[in-house]
Amino acid sequence: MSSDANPGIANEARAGDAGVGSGSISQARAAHGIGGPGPDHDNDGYAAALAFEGLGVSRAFGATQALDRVDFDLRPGEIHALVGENGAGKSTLAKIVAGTLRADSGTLRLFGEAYSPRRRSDGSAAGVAHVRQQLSLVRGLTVAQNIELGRPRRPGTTARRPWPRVFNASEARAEVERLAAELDLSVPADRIVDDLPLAVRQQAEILISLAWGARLLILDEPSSALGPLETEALITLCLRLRDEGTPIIYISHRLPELAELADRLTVLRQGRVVTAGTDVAAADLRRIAELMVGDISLLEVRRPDLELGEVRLEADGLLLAAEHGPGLRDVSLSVRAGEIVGVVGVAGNGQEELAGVLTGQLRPDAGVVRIDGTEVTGSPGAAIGAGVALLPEDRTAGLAADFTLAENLIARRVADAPFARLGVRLRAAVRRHARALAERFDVRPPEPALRAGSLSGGNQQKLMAAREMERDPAVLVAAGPTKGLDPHAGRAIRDRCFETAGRGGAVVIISADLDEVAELAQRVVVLSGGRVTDRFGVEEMTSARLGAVMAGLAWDPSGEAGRSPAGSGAPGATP
Amino acid sequence: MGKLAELTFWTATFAGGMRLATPLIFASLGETIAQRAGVLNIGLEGFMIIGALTSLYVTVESGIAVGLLAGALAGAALALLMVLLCVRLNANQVVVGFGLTILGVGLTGYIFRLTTPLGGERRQVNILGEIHIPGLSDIPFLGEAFLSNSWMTWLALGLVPIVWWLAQRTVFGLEVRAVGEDPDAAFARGVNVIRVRSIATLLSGLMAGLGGAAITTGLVGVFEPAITAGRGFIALIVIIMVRWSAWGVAVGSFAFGLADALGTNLRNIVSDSVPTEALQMIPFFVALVILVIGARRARMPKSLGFNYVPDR
Amino acid sequence: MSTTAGDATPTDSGDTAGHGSATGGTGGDGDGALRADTTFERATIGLGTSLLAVVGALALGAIILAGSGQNPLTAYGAIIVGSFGDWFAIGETLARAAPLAVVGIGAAIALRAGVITIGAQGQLIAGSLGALCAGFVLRDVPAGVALPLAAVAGALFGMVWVLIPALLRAHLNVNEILSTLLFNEFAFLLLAYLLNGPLKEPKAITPKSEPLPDSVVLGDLVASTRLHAGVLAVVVIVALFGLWTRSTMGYRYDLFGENPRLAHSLGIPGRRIICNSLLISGALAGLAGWLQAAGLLQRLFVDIAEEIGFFGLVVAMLGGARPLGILAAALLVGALQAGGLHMQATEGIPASLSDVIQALILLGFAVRYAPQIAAIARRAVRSISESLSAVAAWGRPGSAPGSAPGGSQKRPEGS
Repeated sequence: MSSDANPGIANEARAGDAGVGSGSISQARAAHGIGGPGPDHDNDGYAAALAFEGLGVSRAFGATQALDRVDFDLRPGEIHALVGENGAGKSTLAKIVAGTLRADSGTLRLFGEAYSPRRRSDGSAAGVAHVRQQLSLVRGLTVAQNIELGRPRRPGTTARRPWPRVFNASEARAEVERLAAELDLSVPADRIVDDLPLAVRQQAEILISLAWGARLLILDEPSSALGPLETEALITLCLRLRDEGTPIIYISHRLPELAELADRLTVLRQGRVVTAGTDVAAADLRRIAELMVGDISLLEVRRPDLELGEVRLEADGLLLAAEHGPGLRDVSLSVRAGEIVGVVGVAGNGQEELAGVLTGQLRPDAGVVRIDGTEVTGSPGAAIGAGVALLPEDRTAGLAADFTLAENLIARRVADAPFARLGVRLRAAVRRHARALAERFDVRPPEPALRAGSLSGGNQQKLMAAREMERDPAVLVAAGPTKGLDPHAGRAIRDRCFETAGRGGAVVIISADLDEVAELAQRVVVLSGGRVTDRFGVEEMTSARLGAVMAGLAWDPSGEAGRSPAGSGAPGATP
Repeated sequence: MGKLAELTFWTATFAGGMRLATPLIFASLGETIAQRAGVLNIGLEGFMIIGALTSLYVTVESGIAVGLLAGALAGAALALLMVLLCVRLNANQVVVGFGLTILGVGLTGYIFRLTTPLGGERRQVNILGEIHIPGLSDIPFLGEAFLSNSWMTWLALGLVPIVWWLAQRTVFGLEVRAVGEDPDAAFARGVNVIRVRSIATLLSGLMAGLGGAAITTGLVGVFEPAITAGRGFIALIVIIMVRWSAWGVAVGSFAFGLADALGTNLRNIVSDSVPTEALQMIPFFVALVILVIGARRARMPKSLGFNYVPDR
Repeated sequence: MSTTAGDATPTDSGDTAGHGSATGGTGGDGDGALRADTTFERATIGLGTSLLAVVGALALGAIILAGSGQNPLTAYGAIIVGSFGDWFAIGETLARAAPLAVVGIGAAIALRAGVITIGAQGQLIAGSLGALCAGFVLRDVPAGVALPLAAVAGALFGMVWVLIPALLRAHLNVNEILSTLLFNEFAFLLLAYLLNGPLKEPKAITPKSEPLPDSVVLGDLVASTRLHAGVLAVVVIVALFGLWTRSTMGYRYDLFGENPRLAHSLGIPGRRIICNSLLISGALAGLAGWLQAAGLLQRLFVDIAEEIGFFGLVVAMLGGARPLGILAAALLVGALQAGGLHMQATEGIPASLSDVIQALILLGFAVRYAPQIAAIARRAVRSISESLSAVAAWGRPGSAPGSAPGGSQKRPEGS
């Protein structure tokens, strides 16, 4: 932790860090006593070759072999992509490199030296920075405060730092501002992290790891919640860092993005290396995708033909002020029976509020929500009665983790016959119902007496789907329904969405995953700054158009001949 | 009733407020640190009473300095139990806090009865006198009410800026806030969540022990069962009211101490027309009002009350 | 603040980084802070581990006794004699367990809904005042009518005493632990005032009320004990609580306690549940006051509530907020208290020792809910059983001894 080191040395280092105008990233590293991949190692032929090398790395969790004798290396000045589906072992490998996890066996070398981190702080002291999907900035503090929080000791210093160590706010602020200017980022030093958009938080975290003297970056699914323009900016930043000498391990499953960015690529599947260090420029992406998944059928879109019926969900003029983010500003939406509408946008642009209002859980400041003509605005009970089903993005909000499967599955109809008589629950009926339902929705294991919290993420989502979609809902609102699921579970959930629509339900998919929306939705609505900035049929969805409108810019279709103007054309679009 | 208009009445009441605020300042300052770190210690009452008994008994034997130290250490010993159960073993903080209250009250009751035979002599110390600062303490009203304190009160007031500085101006303060707001992120930053929470809890125990010591050695001079009279819970209310701010703790504690002193001093004046019980209710009524006002704006540390379980 | 239904904004649910840290908590939302952690109620409670906590607490108690120069065997002997030694002792234990169980059930219903109340003390005083008032009003009414009406009055007074904290909690988000504590003080001071003034028995030296009229007094169940007929009411209340845990309404309260956001999304009205669970617990504490006033003491004293309100909460926690658990815990605590007083009277060892032992038992139970301990216990059991199976397999051809324990050396995931 952060409370050791010699006061004198620490002060020198800080003075170096905050040197007015003169500081640069490499100087920050020098001040931290970290030799870059430059002069120190150039004389040493072996070490200059690799920034990181892991040989025969294995790691097991209980009975599961998460990594099985994996070899992986990273050259200085390259971006090496690590791809694979969920559970392939990417994150485990990243954590081992970062020092968060220890390998059961195998040897690691960092810039030519033996490297055996025992904990996270060893990794950061050695200059390895791990930027996780769930960012690790403390959200209640400012960026400048985060830079000092957990800052590693200078390597080589064993003397204790004084306790308590004074936090110098102006120095920290200056450091953030200097690095931001240098990297051409607009990261505000004095804003509370919670108030920053996700993309800026991510930049702030990368910036801080550089300030801490990182000489190797691991980015874990960095683009999963970003819009197209933000992803572009991220790619630019990565390339720039690479060119300035910071090698990057880039974990993703988005192949098009990797083609733009990565030099080499390694595919993991079920803890093993499938292809090692392929040159991206020469690789066949289609083939890589197959290698990743192993089962090509999962990649195929099986969109059934859906027949549109009457309007079932109607939202008109929704206004909602929110504590963080823009809330909703005059959002209207109508969805017909058999229709799947995708709501896309950069996270924090009103998606959660929309999901809440459509399902009656949030009362809008103005506007109405109707289901089959019945008003349900701001009344979760009425919405449930009208047949609303919700898959919340935050799964902790959708399941009672300490209740059993049976108790969870009954939540919507606890008082209905045959599950209760005279206000007393009939456990045998509930159990039977639970087993049948769990089997129907492929919840594993389908054991009614099991705690819901003990299921895996995918099975929790299936459990929630089973509860919500058991009796064909009139309206299904699904927020990020397959986020973080393995392909099989994801497939199952998507099929359930199609099934609901096929049986005459109106489906709203709210997701930052554009591929998911492209696969499921017939019609796309773009939410930006709490407003609907564009609507179009899914066949008109292009990344250029999405990029522009998700960023709140107007889409000028003139560049693309033959396209219909935004907002018309889509079926059921409200004016 | 005419006495209400006399300055001496108010001088005495404000001075009494300072005196009665002293134990609260100690206890709530420490608790502020613990709560900011996400540890909800509702066992403050137990910590205080065990500090009260220990400091008194040790003072009788070895003098006030050793006595205070022993009181603080007794509070810390109970806090160590809390660290073990909650921070290390993830036991429910409210259950443990409640259990520690009963433990503290029960243990002190046991020791007191065992050492004090019925009708026998109670152990007693002279309560701390005021320090007279030439010039300042003689200023009418202001000096007499606010600047004529015992050194225990001065110590409490002196701790306020220290705790403020620790919370606002040091990396430890940042770490405390970080582990109270978002322990997962703090852990990922490289902060040792368990250690920071342990230190914060121990500090709260030390200071609650001092708060208890301030009651026996500073206010009463003897121990009796339930002598803390709910001050541990009042301290929790003070913290909510002042939103975890060190300076606020001083003000909030004084507000409560003043209400307490007012209730006591009024008794001498109006006891014929108003039942004493109604006057005794004044501080609790003030606390209720404070609680209601405080709750409307309270923004608690996000993980307050929840243990940290490393989640990978 | 998502515990109040109206505020259940899903605004900060986007990044769920915080949820891993909250043991049994429902997300890292701010107000989760002072909520009951209902995990403990769900944890599987084995009789073995419960006994372990009790035995451990008794062992620590013995160390304290020995350390303070007392003979633990003498002390514990006196506790046993004083709690189960003869009919009088058993009567004392049961008469003490009765209000504890009733308060405990009220606290348990609230705990299961995620609401902690420490206000039983004050509500109990209010309930005893209610019984007294009913007694004065119904002095000449036949006992068959007056008796149940006195019970109802007790429950109503208890409910009224929690009404303000309940409304403050549900509508202004005022913490119920602290507000109910303050109302305890108000109740105590009010009772002290009444017993020193308007309700004081004229010639008495110590403050106490006049005896309750016969029409509302609960008769003795067993001659020459203090065991009164009110104990029968406790049996009914426990049975009703058993029904509650299996009812659809009880399910909704439990669901709200377990996950307020889910409950809100299912249309379960959170404010009403918070309010009602506090009112129910108030009514039950009031009933306990009625038991004290109309059953055990038959008049009001300043310390009529003793510390039943607090120990009722202990009973609810020890009993895992479940009917039979509460019954067992109430008997345990009742026995410790009755025995403790006997120990003080006969051996001169302070009765506070029973409080210490109860606190230690509670702390032991608190740890048992801790997931890490559970994990360690599971691991230990597994490695023991694996060793046993290895031993069993030894000598059988083709199986190397020790191969099974070797399998257990794989480190489990996480911390």
